[in-house]
Amino acid sequence: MEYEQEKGAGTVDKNLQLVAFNLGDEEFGVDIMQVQEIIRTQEVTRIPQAPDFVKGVINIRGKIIVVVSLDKCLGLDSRETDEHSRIIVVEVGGSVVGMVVDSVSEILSIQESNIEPAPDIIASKINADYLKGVGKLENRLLILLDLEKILTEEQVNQISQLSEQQE
Amino acid sequence: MEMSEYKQVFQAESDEHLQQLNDSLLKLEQYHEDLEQINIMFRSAHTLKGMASTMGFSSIAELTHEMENLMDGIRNKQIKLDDSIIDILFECLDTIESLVETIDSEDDVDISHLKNNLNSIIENGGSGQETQNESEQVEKETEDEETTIKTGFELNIDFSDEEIQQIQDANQNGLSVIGAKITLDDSCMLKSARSSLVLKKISEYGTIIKTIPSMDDLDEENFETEFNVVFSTENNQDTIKEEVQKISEIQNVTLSVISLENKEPSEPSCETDNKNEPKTETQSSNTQEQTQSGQDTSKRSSEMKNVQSVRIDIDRLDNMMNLVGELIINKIRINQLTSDYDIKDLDDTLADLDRLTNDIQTEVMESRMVPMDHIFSRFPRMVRDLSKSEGKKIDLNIEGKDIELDRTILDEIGDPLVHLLRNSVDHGIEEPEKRRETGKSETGHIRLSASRQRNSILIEVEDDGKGMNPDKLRETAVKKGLMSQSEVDRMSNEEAMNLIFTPGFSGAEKVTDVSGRGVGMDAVKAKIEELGGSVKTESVEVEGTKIQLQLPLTIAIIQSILAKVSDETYVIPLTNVVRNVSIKESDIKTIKGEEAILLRGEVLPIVRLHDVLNTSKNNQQQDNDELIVVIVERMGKKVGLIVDDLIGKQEVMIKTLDNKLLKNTKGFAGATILGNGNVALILDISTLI
Repeated sequence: MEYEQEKGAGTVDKNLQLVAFNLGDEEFGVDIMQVQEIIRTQEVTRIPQAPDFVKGVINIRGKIIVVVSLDKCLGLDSRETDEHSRIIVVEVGGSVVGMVVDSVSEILSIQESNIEPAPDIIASKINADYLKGVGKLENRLLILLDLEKILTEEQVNQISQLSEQQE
Repeated sequence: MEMSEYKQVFQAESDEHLQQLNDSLLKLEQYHEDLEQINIMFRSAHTLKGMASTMGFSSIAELTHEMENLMDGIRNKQIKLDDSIIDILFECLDTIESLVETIDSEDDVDISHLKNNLNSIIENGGSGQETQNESEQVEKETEDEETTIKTGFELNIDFSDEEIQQIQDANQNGLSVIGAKITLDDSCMLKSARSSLVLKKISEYGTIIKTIPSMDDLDEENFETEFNVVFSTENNQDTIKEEVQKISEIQNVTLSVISLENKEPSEPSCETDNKNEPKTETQSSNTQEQTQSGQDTSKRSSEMKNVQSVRIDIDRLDNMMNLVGELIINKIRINQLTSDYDIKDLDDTLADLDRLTNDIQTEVMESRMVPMDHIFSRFPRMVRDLSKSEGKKIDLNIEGKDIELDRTILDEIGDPLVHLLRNSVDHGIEEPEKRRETGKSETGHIRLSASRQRNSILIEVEDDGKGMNPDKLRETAVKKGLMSQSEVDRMSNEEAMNLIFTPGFSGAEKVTDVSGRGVGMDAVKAKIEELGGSVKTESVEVEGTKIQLQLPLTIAIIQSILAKVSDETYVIPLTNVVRNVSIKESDIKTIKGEEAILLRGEVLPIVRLHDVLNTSKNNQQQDNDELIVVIVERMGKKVGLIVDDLIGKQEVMIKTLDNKLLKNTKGFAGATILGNGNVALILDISTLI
């Protein structure tokens, strides 16, 4: 995390580094400190009887990593993976998880003062608990995700219960 | 070495001695006349006492000391050995064990009543002179020391310029520079711990200038029983000598004042006859030292031979196992990549690589193996205590102590085995009167055995107790609401025996402190299956019960069959597989709504893995009427799994799927990485179907 001293004002505004990616029609961002690596999609081994949002497992240099479909976690429409699809490997709450996203656009930095609470129009689409806020850039809006909330055990239980009920 | 490391060493070695003491005491309990056991115990207790006092654990030292006195009395026939004495000795061992475990809070354990008990036995047994003898001996020893001091010694030390400067400075400041020769007891176990205590004590009174051997060597125990310390002090020599001698296991302390120029005492601060160091003594003491060093060398060479094993942290072995697993995966990958080319040299090299990886795998696996004795050895004592408290007579017979098993597995099966044995004692073996009524010998027998099968270890716990009645088991299952009457009625007797593994089932009619709390056999089964093993029960009413545990040799790498289901590859552990058969779709019959086939007169339930694994429909089935069935064993029952194709037998490295996202996902024991780098799931037969 970098700190930049603003001249004159003497206040400290945190500069946040984000990995920006696309999922459906929206652009999202996650804190780069949580990201271990970004890899191309590879053959994912499906796990029968696993929760719906778990896509399967992959092998990254001898380690077995669980991969989730982020769109399903967020309750968005899912798309087929294509050549732009990427797996963002993140570490959340002590475990390593890969998230499948439609594409990764760039790494950018944003000042904390430019992060605002998510507007209702987004919160109506995605569970408000999953959102850290919205990052305002010149002419873009970046939805900042709270991965802890999305990929924690509690949440997993809820999601799996939900899907069981549907079945 | 850090103090905590010494503690670990101490604890490990104490455990060994406690085990020895327990074993011998058990033998002694059976044959009170077996004085050889008393001798063994005496030696163990003595070593334990030595180690404990070295480390400054006074409670253990005191208790073992009293035990020694008692055992000496028994050995000299001054005390008659009876059951009450044996009980007290057992109690002492338990107390020492808990003292060793909680070594840091040693003082919390009260040993006074045990000491009193031991003392009163010793006194009543008429061995009052015993203690006297010892004190006489001590006195004698002190006399010996006195003479040594009179003889004195000469230090032949080469000082560096810096050290000379230090000595000169000390002399100028009115401090005396003293050379101390400290000799440890031959039996001293932790020499470096001892030496560091001595150094610590000396530094309380002065400043250490030099040690011979160097501090590092002292730390590493690179010395025999003797070492020298040069220090400056303003205190009286005698005080220091006294203080150092208070540390136990010091055989001898000799002090002399060092003076640089003329080798004569520079500070006549001590008025004792320790104003020694006349040069005349030099020769004699030198020769003495020479002979001693001669002995030392011979001793050292014999000690060298003894260092044949190294303690290795289990984490390190786990890491090695993981690396070997990676190596094997990579080897398989290279094999696959090169299979397209026909280059002879490459094939030869790969064959070598194959052999080497196999060898290294075997070596690493072997290095993780620990003999069964590690857990078996505590059972005789446990069974003895249990049977005694329940008024039963039980003879425990242990076989296969030397069979080796992967340490990880060994760690895990201790508790299940404790449970099985407790069950046998508690519910299996009857009270002596009851046994007589049924025409059995009063003493019940429990047999615990381990044997190595081809790819697994078989552990059996067998008793000649009352056995189990399948009808009673059915009744209990219904009474506890675990099953309906109609369900249990349908069960064969063999299946009814397996009811004991149902969670919430406990066959005990009376609940005792040790078992019968309903958490028993299902936990045993769960643990064994988690390890990739299986449990089987055989029981005949009145004749007894036999429980068999089958365990893999190691858990990190397993032999397996790779099977294709639709376009996915799955791993079936070979321990589960009985054999493969090929059948026709028309062979499958529907019995009571379940699919099954008739194989060699046996009804074999059939499970289509497509359905269980929700794979996409496969098309091959239409073209080909032949079905491949892998017959697996699960809780003693056989089940046929329909797969599309068998790829072959392969060793795979188990990787866990411990991500919490998969917490509720059952049916898989883990995953492995195939030769092409893809991941394949390992089926866990017991939770899958």
